Amino acid sequence: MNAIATDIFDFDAKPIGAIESGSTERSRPISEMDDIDALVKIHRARLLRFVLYSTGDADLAETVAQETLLKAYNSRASFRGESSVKTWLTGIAINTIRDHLRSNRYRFWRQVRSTAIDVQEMSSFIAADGLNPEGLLLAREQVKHIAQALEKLSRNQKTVFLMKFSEEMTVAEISEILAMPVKTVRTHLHRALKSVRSQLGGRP
Amino acid sequence: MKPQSSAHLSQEALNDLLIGLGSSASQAHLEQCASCREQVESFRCGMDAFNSASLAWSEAGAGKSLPRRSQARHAFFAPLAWTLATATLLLIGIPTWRHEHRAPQSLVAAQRVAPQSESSGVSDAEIAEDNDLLRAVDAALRTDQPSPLRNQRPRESHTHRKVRLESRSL
Ligand SMILES: [Zn+2]
Repeated sequence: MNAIATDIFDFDAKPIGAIESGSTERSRPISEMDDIDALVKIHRARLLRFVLYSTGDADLAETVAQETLLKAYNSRASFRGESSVKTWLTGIAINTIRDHLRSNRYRFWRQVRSTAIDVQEMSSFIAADGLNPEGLLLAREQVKHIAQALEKLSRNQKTVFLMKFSEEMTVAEISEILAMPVKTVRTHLHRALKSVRSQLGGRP
Repeated sequence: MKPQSSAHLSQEALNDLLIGLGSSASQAHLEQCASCREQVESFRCGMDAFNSASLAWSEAGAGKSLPRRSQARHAFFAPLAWTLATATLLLIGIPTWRHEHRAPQSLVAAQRVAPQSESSGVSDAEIAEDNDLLRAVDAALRTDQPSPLRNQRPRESHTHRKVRLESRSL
């Protein structure tokens, strides 16, 4: 099996920005990491979206977002600030997703229940600020097209795409977190972009 | 992959620019070519709309349906509990219409998976309890109980059985 066909969630994500075990160094400034409410307020919706889109499972997203924030808060002393908090959280979220996908319960539960993302509903959340009716309509169409293109991607492609274009991580960060060669990350991104851009009516 | 006009950036070059791996030659072309810039802008504009809509939607959902930490386990596993309860009740009926005693392969496979880590936020005791229930369901499905209808009705497939479980548990 080549590297591209392997599921991302079969890897152990690397905790970017964490202090190597044994070190007691703590040089980062006080931040949202020290306040659980702030952490939740700032990052929960983003985490929810990330897990929801990469797994297509709303219930899993809620659980993973919650666990990720709690784990991050509990291990905040090991956050060394080399990456953004967002990037660090994404790494924790990926490991948490992986744990759930491997679990007995999830596999059983997954057989009997599935949730689908309501593209129509989601696209209606586009902010109307500063947009005329035509602009709003166009933006909604774009949101729908992207959501539909994402549906057609493999889980790996979708996850890497979201890490890049929604979580705004660099290819190097994605590669490090997923322990995946830059070349493979790039291949996933190129395939995802091809699909998304053609849905958006990009130049063929 | 090649653009129709070789004067413009190829899809590959455009995609590399979008993912932050563009060459300096591509970057230079982009700066002086409105057509290629439009391609990049169109994607970025679409992604901005997608990101803001999906985040607002996620926030709205977070406001009304997200459970507190203490309710997380219940919220996540309530559907499973119902499913297991339904499946357990159905076991009473299954031997009368089951004509092959192959256990659902996915359930068998699930039993072989390594134990769940502590990350799910539930105690080991709770996990053990749920796993016991899963095993009980599995064992009951494996039990070879000859049906009085054997050889009188066509074999009912595993898939069919699963569909029945699904339709009743939802
Ligand atoms: Zn051009």
